[in-house]
Amino acid sequence: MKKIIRLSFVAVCIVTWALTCNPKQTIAQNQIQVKKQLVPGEQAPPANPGQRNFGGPIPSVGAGMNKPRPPRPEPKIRTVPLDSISMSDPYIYPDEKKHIYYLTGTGGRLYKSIDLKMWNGPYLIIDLAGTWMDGLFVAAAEIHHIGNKFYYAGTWSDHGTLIENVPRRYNVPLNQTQLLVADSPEGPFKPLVADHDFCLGPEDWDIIDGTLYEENDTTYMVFVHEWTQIIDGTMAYMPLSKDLTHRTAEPTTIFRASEAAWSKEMNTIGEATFGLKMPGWVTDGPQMFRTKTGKLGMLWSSWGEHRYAEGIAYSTSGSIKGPWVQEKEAFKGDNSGHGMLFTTFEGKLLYIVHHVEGDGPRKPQLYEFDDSGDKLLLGSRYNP
Amino acid sequence: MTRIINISLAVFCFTMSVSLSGEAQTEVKKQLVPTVTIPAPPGSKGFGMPQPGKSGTIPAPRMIRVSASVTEQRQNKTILFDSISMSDPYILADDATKTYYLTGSGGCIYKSTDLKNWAGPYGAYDTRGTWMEGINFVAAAEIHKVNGKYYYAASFGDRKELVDVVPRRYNVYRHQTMILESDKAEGPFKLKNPDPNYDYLPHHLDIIDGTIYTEKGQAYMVFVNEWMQTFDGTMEYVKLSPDLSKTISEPVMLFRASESPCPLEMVGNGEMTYGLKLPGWVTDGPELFRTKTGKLGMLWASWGAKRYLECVAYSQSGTIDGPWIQEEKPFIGDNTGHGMLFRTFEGKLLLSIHHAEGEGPRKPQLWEVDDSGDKLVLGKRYIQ
Repeated sequence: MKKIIRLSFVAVCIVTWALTCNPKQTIAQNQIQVKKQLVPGEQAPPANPGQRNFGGPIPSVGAGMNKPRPPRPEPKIRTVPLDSISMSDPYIYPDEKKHIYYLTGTGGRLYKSIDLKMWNGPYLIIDLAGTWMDGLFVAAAEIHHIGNKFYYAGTWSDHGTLIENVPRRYNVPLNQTQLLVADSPEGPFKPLVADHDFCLGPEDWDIIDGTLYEENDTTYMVFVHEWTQIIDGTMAYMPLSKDLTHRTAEPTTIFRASEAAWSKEMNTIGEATFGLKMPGWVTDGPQMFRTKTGKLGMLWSSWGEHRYAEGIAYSTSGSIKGPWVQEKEAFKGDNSGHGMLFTTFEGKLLYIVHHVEGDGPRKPQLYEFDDSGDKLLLGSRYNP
Repeated sequence: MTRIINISLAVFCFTMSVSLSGEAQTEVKKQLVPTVTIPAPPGSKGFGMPQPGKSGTIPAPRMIRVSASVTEQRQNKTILFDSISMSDPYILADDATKTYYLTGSGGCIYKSTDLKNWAGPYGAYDTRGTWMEGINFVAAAEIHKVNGKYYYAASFGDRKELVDVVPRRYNVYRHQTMILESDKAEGPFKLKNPDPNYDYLPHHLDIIDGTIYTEKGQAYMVFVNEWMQTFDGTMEYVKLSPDLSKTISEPVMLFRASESPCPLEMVGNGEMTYGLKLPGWVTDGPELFRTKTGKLGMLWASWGAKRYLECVAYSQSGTIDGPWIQEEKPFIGDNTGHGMLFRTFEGKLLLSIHHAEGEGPRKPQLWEVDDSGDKLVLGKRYIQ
């Protein structure tokens, strides 16, 4: 009798553990609870007809919904010059071994080039089967090489899952920057954590544009906590485990968008967002860099006097912990931003950034950059 | 026997896992660490203080404050209305005593029979034995008569208890609008709720300027959730129990400051707040009214083109649930605001409101107001 009790005791513990402590189950339970409580509410007032509108077309009367993008037809693989590619948030990973430049960004497809001039693509390089991200749009994809693996950091949006209703402002969808892994920069990249519901950041945070940065043997994800949810957007970091599968601490806020004088309030500059007159300050697209003199800096983007812009902050301690001091002016303020640095195989520091001319599409451009001093200096346009 | 053990174990394990979220919340409270704050840019105008203080510190009150507690010793005298300095003035015309009672920020009471000569200041409340005991400053006190009882609504701030931290912005200390009760307009007003630690609103919220409004026999507190905590200040309500001793509903948000074109963003408008760079939009001092034609409106205050100002909103439905439509132009806009209406014993509708000339002290003014049409119309200055 005793033995039976003991056995059943163990069995019960295992079963209850499986039922209640299994992360997958727990997350699912939490999400069900959260979903039950959250109802979409009234959002910020709709944009005026004809108003400038980030993230969407010029709104018509009665607009004001943030709709997911419709699926697009599968593009043909072609070899094209850089200036014929339309892409937001371009990122280039130069692979020294293969001597190939890999270009990705929002949309998450891959282009390849050996000379930065002619690009072959777009290739589909990710496989998200079995995860909540499967079939969803990916923003601001980046490729990083850490150890002997390649990691793909991208931001997935699930507009069918509400994480918060910010009353009279915004129904916040699930947004997370997630990591995929592959043995080659060409993929196929698969989720680093196979769990269907896994999120790398806090699930009730609207997280975008996460990038990877290493300091003192710790890899950090530096990311944006979206202004749509918190009004004055922030830059934050979280340390990751050695295998990058999970965060080892809760996020730390580094700075707010409004701390930079060049970042302007969206309603004040007349910029609607997803068809809504949503007030606030934007943080976007962080990238960490070190100058040749050892100074730690961060490129990041926001909206300024002339629409999209990019500026720099420097860490006075030389560590990710800061304090971070903002440069007074944006170094790029002509409706360009979300630029990322890379070094050519010849050792030249370049910067790829998207620019919008008028109402045209976002197109990547290349610029030279000088990192020989304490501060990064934008050079001239680079034409490969 | 085994079954009983099974069930109790399962229940135990389940309870453990379910209670995790509750524990996490308690832990968060324990871990509140004050945040770094951002000093105001040089040359900012100083809301909340005449001189910029040391950055990042809470400024000392302008003068040594004697609280409005009835336990304080004070010298009463009769002074002219024009010689009173006071923010957020509120006048109750009490039919029972044929006396006008003036209170506001600071919380003391002045009495008058002619609106010209005022006797005071008198103590107002007795908060001994409650969390409010020892607080020496209350903001925006009001006296309302509801169902034969007198209610004193004022905002009490306890600088000792940190209730929320907004990273790189603001340390939120306990701040609640409390309703105290008395049989007489002159007090002493006491907490009716049996819990001496009672909060009318969630403990972690920064609540100010609550007022009392009755609609169809239901009493409401209409209040402000401070923009320092929420960036874009809100106007909200809760339902109160018949004796006004407690809250009986969840808060409902009516509007955000940025929905009105009158308030300007504080940092963009060059206003500092307590010496800090706090970007955002202010909601202040709600006062509900009904015009003679039955329209429901709300006066509320914010900061705009000429500093402090008074906004007006009207409820389309004629009920507190709105929707609330903001007027395009301020009701008064020359560094004047936080106005409150009352009717003289002769039946004249007056607005008591504070005005600051230059950096000078805030002084109450009286204005005539016409409520005979669908919209409130400001008349001329009323000189007693």
